[in-house]
Amino acid sequence: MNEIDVRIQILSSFLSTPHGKIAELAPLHVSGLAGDPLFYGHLAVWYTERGEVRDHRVLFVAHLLTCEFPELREVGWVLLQKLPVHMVARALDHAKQTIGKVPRMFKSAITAYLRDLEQNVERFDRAAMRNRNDLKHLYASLRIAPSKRAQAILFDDQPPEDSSLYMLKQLARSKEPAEQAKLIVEHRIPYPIAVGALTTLSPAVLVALVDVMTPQETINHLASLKKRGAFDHPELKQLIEEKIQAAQTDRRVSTLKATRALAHVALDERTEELLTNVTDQRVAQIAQISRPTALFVDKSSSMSEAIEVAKELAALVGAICSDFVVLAFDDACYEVRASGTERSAWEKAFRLIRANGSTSIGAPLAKLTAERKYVEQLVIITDMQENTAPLFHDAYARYVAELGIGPDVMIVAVGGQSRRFEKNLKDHAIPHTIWVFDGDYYALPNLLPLLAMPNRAEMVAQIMAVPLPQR
Amino acid sequence: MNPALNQVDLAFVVDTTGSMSPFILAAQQQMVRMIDELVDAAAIDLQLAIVQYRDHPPQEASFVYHVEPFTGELQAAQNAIQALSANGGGDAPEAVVDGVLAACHELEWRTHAQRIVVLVGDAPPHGIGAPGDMFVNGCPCGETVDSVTAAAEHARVTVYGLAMHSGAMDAFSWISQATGGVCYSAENGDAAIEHIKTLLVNNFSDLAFDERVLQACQAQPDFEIRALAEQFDVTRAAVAAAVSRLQRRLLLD
Repeated sequence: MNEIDVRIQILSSFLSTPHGKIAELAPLHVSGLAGDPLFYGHLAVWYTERGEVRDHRVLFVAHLLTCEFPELREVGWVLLQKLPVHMVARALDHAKQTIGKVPRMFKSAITAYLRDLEQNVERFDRAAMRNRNDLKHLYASLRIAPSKRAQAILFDDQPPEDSSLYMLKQLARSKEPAEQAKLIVEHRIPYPIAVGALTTLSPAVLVALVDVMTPQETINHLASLKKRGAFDHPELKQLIEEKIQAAQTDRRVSTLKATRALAHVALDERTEELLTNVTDQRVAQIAQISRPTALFVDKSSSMSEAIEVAKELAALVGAICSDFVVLAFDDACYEVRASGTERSAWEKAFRLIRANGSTSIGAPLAKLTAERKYVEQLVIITDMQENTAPLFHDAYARYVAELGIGPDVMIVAVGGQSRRFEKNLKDHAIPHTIWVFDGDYYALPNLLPLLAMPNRAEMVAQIMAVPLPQR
Repeated sequence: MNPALNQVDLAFVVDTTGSMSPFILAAQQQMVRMIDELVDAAAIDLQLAIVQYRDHPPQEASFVYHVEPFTGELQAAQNAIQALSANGGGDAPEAVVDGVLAACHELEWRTHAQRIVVLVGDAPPHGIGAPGDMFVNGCPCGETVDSVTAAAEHARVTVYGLAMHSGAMDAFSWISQATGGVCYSAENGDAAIEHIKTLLVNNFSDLAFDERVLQACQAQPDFEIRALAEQFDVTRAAVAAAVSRLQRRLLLD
């Protein structure tokens, strides 16, 4: 295997791994680092900017800072400074518990991180309020002496009067809603912390809490806000809507958290529309897919979950790809047409698609061949359990022969995988990536950069062009 | 309540060749216990059937498969399971595909029932390269694992495997997974029961809600999931899941 193949393989592994337990993702980092250390370093920097699976960001830092290459440890040092406190704590724990070592440079990176945090009183207080235990853990487990102020806040439980922690104590003691609201707004006490400190939440306090929320926090806490009656007050509802609207342009908002909120909270039409817009806007910012793309959806009897995944993916891809066709298949195939690119249009388009029939993964490709429809990539949502002709590898060979192009194949494996199908792909040299969907809709946007790239080799070139940072 | 909403048809497809002799008692106990536990798991209207399979002549002369039709008399079904005996069979692989196919085609599945086959055996089917296969070119019936799983998918039947011996594991896993099911080894029989129980609980735990969704969809043929979610004050996902359940069982077009 040549250098570019190794890099493509490492990249494909990273991009096709959804959220998982951090220890389960670690072998990917070990093999990536061992396989091509230089590429791993560039990938770490690229992923920090572009990747959506946060656990990988933690793991890159832990593995870089514990590796044998000084220039890569430098990269780890710089990347650690950009992590929030709870992720630094997780990186440290991973180094200790799984990698089994915490070299001096790791400690120096965390010391620098904490000193910088201590210098910025506002940031420190915010971190102490949200991630108190993680912060204590960083000082204590590496025996880093806290500043006087940090000592008072974290370890002596005597926060100085100018600190937000002191105000939190005042908030817990306060009985007057007006005073509570004032404390929340002036000291930007976050929602989950305030909710824990207060026994009852009046509308005035809720207004104050929503006011200090970030757009992402508003989306995350929609269910809780609804439960506490926030949507019953017009003023409060409007404030929430304004926050959701702001999420459209906020880079920190996770694309599919809005979708998840939609799935888990019963909302009125207006709020739901706003949330849908947030998702669509965020998707549009992630990438543009210029290659003609086909999405095949396995709707055979065993695949009811695939249809739900397909709605999400069709909405994500459809929003950023102008040449896009969707075909649902069992042993025959059916084009799914949406009246627009928005999620509700795809929901409606898939409404009458129900799981039944046997499985011919070649059927939709045979249809494209018959119609001489040119595509450069195929995304197939399936359990890979084909049992009816035309089989995919046969249909693929005919497509290549007829149209003169071998599209890249992205399998989104739902409900299992088939070694037999995978072997057929390999035996027939069909370029493919298998991306296992484990039920986590948050991870679906990771497919988009992959589909947006002209091809994997060019993506590797782009990653290698990202400079390695230095202190 | 719509009587079709809680129907479950469960067929045991059981290898009763001689090689099952050491396992037949354990298999019978697992099947009887599964019935008891599934009945307790959810408010379902359960029907049971049993399909025995052995092998084609000249490997086996008694029968290739034998179908006991569906019955709602659970005690009678349990008695029939207890009466199963293992005999004959000849070579190692057996007429597995005939058994599954008979279940798909010859049993009278209720139109709207959740359809489950539990495949119990210790040997793989013919024609997949198993050692000692006297029908190396495939089962004399002309069917293959692919054609049988396709038939199961067409019949909306999900197959769950219970492999009583490791020799059956790969083939039973293949058959199960291709129909949306899972295969368990005999030692994990409890897990198989738990899996199917969970499936039933998930599908039949809120029949009243499913009924409301069904009525609303029938009343508004151009229904929208979002509108229904708002109407019932539940999440869109909850309505989408109910619609998917109803569609899968042809309760909703």
